[in-house]
Amino acid sequence: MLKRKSKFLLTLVVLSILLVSVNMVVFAAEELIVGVGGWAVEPTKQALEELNFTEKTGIEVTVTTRPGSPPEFISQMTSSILGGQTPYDVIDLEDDAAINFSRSGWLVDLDPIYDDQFWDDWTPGMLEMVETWNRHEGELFRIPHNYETQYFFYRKDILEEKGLEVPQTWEEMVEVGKELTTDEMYAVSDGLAKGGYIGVYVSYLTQQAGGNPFDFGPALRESLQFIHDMIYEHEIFPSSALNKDFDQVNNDFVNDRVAMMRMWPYFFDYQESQEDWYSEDKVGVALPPKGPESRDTFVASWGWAIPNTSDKIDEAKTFIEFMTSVENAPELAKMSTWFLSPRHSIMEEIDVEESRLASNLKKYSDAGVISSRPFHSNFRQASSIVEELASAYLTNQISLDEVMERGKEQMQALEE
Amino acid sequence: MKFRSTRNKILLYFGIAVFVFIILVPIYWLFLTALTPRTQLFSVPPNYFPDFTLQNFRNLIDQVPFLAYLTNSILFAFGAIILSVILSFLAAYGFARIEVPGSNFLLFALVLTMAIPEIVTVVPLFQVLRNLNMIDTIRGLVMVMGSVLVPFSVWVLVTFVKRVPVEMEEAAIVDGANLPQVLFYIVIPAMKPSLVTVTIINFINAWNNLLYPLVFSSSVRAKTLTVSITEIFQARTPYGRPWELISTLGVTMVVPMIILVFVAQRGIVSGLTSGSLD
Repeated sequence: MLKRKSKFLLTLVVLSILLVSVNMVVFAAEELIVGVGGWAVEPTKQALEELNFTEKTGIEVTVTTRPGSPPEFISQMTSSILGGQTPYDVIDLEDDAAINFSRSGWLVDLDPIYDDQFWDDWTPGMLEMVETWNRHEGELFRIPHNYETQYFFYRKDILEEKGLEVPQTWEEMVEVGKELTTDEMYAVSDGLAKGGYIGVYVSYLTQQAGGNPFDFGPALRESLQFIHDMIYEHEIFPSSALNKDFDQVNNDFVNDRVAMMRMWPYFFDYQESQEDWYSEDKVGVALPPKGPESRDTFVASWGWAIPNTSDKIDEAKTFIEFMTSVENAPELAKMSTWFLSPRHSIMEEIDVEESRLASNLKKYSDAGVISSRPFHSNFRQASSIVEELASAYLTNQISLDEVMERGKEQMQALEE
Repeated sequence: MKFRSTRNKILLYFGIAVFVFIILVPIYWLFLTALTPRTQLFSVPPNYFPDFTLQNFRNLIDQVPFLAYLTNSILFAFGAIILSVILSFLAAYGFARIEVPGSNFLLFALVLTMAIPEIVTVVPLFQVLRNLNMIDTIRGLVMVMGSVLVPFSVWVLVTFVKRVPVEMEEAAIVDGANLPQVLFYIVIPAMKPSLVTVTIINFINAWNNLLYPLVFSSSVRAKTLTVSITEIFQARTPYGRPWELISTLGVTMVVPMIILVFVAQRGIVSGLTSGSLD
């Protein structure tokens, strides 16, 4: 009896000592902590290493993964910032998080890093995006490092086989779509599930119809009607897409179930990774078919920001300057598409023939079809309203008139 | 009469079968996705018997610092149960055996803290940990989680301490035992099923907790497996969802729980159902 108790006590003591000692070492917190998405950890580390950041600046950096899902990321940041700290000295922020954080007054003004000459390196389209999505009350709170453009992909081999031209307008897309749709393949598809998917396609088409989806105006009506017609009247777009995310649609494309689609640039890598399926003459990239007003496609961007509770703001500014300077931007873009944008310095130095993504970004940029993402100062909630109502309409639960009426009411309530 | 009895049995078994099916389908799907090659994940029609692979586990280990997170999870969960069970047992013994004015109110107040949503306490706790220099440390996480688990544990254990006949303790004292000896030789053996149950429940709570490790850790030295789910969510690109990695991580989180519950099943059942002396 006594022996068993002694063992039990000993185990408890050993475990307790182990537990306490594990974290007795006080870790040096002198390093600059840079929080990026999981996919960007290695490219960022590689960039800092190859460009000798620490040697040149004397600043040690730890690149760490920040939560990718917005609710968890916001929970983490809210509690730490309200507690007077931050888990990251520099954060790689997406559009909607940047809007939230800047409106909460959590981010440092980055204007002092550069003078006006720096912005000569940026295209007019990029500058518009910077002004809309990266500036609040006159202060620059984020400097973008990429330009995630949506591309129009099509099955080059199938269109050639059927003697069809790449559609140039919405009307042509329907005509070509009817020729392409078979029992096994739909002509067009997109991820239309709720939760950040359907809102993208609806915004994309609404912009081509000449409007902003958050206005709940005629352009949104036209785009929703167009999607509805493609699904139910022309039957060239699968209704099952209403439950699909982007991954599932990509999978449909590389399994010969879809012939044309709009997609984010990660599809370049995805298709090429399907070694048994992919060949250069199989997938083409064309300019988006023109809607009633334009053939625009909007960009999403990621960029560097500094929480104002960081105690290494100067070092953080040095980091951002290093990662976005005219000298280093082309080098970074050569290393990883995560740092690719149509900045003049990048387009001049990068070999676009070597990269399908870079060549298509240049093609889109030169054609002037890239525009800024439809903006709302309460982006997440506004997007949620658009998604809910669009989904309800496209699943035939409410009419288009009801979408417009309820949308206007809900947006007004959001504004108030 | 016999017909009715048979019919009732059939209905009962059918109901149980439906219930078990509903419970098991998500678990089956989790394991299926974890063992399915990514290329076969979205096949149409769904492939219920794909070419099983362990590649997803290898990819998971490449994608996140898996061993470090696993070690942190184990330390965090074990630390929290050691802290919470020891403190709770002592507190429960005090509440059950020591008559002081207002002890019932104190117990009620302690239990009432369980009703406070976790998220509400996060900012004050952050400030406390920051002042103690315990942000991004396992010992800080253990302290928070242990304290969160204490009210429930005390509430459960007080009842069980009261069921131990006080005469047994008095007899031991008459024989010359001091308080620690009474606790170790009389009370703890008598409460073994309930202590096992509380330990297991606390372990499950700590093992699965996301909020505290997410908020109070920012680096690999304190992040746990639950936090890695938020990181792996967009592991490859900002737009895709690596369902196979998410499921693989889910499997690695669930399997230890299943094993633990199977191993401790008898203790849990007797602790939950009887709480009697053995």
